[in-house]
Amino acid sequence: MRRLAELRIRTRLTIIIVMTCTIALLLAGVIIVAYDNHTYQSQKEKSLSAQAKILASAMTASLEFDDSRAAQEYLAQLATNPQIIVAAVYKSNGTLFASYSSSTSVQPPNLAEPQGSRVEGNQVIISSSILQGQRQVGSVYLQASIESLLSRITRYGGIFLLAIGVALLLTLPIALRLHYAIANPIYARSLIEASLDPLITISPNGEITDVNSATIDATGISRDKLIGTDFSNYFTEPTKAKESYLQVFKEGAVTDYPLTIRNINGKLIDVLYNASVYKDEHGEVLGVFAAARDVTARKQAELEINRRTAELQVANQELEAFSYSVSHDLRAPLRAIDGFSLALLEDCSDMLDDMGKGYLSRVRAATQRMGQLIDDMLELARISRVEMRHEAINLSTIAMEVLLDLKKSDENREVEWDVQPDLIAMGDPRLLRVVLDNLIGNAWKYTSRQSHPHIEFGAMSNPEGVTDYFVRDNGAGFNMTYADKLFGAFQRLHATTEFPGTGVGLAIVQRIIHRHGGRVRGEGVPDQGATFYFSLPK
Amino acid sequence: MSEKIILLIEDNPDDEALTLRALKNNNIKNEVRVARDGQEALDYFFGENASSNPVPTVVLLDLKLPKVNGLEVLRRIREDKRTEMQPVVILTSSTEEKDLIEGYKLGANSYIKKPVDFGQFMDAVRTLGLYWLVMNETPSPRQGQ
Repeated sequence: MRRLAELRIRTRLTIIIVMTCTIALLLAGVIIVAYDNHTYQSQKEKSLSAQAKILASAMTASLEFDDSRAAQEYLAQLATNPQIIVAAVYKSNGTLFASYSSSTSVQPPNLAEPQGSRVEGNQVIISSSILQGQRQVGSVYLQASIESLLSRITRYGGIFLLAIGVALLLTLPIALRLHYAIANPIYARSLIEASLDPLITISPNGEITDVNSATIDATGISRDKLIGTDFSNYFTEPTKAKESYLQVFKEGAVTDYPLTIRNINGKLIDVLYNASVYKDEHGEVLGVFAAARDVTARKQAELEINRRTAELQVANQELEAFSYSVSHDLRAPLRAIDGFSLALLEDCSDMLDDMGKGYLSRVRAATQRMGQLIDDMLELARISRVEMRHEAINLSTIAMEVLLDLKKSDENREVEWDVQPDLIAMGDPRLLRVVLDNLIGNAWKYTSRQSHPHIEFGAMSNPEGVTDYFVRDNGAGFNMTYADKLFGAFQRLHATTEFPGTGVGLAIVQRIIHRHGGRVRGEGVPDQGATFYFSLPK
Repeated sequence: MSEKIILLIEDNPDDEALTLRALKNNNIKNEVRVARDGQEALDYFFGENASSNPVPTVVLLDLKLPKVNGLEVLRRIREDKRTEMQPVVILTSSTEEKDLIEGYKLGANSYIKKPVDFGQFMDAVRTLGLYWLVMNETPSPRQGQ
């Protein structure tokens, strides 16, 4: 049976129908044979006992006159009936009076048998008394052959086989037709039930004709109570729901029609309905098949995203206002400090000794450094806010421009460089220019004490199969112990006196690369050089 | 048109003093009138006694001003037939790009950021004075009157 279960439903149905049919026919056959055999035997017994009675009445006179010859002659006439094997007449004392045998191999019993009839193998045996009024004058014995059960079954068998054959021939096409009538709806229903989305069929007048268990879960109402009721009852906006299926009947389909299912427990489920009409084989519209997709989670996520976006916008606006204020208000006093320090140095220099002038120079240097820090901080904030474009850009060209600019501003330095040509990446051209400005600018700066400075820009595939762009130099390098500090804002691994800077450059690089969805890392060896890698997703 | 005067619109006295010093140190000896907020600047041009005020050769305009902000002052100057051709140089601490764009949209003739480094500021003022007071030729805004 396990194998049967593995077969296609269509084959299974056919086999089941044919087997049922055959079993029914066989059973009917066996019952008919048994019944027929029974009636045949009792009929034979009846006809034989009637014959025995006729024989008995014919023998009365012969027995009265003890004329065994006449009896013998009468019995001999029984030869005309081939079924009678043995016939005998006994006197009242039970001794044989006259007898007939169809062949010499069979003989009647010597003594009369008690009255009765029985079937013995293929023979019926009857013993009946001969009466003269109330007095028994003798008895009759008849032994007749009947057709055997086997030969009767053999004869019936042919007929049955023929009948079964004809029946099967008729059953097969019926079974195949049943496949469409029964198997298809079963298959379709199992598909409907398999769906995790609430599915529903609606009649042209808006009544629900079928639902799956997901619909039962969504509405909290049983299948029986749903079927036959109006589809639009189960939504927060029945009119809109009604319009949806009317639209389906009118246009053939609707897609992503937003509705809200009201569960009996009060819970609301936001769904998007996709529905279309289904037709019978003649193209007549039978109803609407509608599938709902639960978008409650999606909608909540959307609301959450909107809420956060709004919060972020407020935060951004605040940050912008803050930046604006910083750029104006923080720089004005710095300018005053620097300006009046210079005024002191210039206008009152004769009142100041060298120490005083030295202090004022320090005031000016610190002020200018703070000005630079403010500018860098604003730049860092701007990088995070600025809108990004996405286009294919040639990083090699940008790298060359950066190097040529550096060379122009620092003509006394001899720096060798190596730029791999035509490295194309997707990203924001202005922001990636800032990245290369910083990375190549760093390389330029940190190779300033190197006798043969060399800067390289190129690309390689990293172990994860992602393209890593890199800027490599043979400059001051850094100790990898502090690698985690590289990208922190205002973090520096070198003294300002050694190499100038505010420590914002790499923080800006990291922010830009992160905004592109890429990663950035640095490798360095003190006094041997540094390499900075960054990736940009396609 | 006998004397070229400068109108400095600046609320911060430190910046005012430093600007004046920078002009003086660069040998720009033209008269400098100072308006200390946006309203004062508008009054200079459009107030009751405006007609007695000399027409400035150049206006140095700070953006962040009390009462009426610098961009608004610029807009009013450009709107008025009498002053629409008045040369206006924005001189501000703001490094915000939107201020720069807005300034040019409203018809600023120049936009100069005041650097923290006073040495650089001196250079900027010298160049500015040289350009507007010596090299540049401007039509007389009140010629028609």
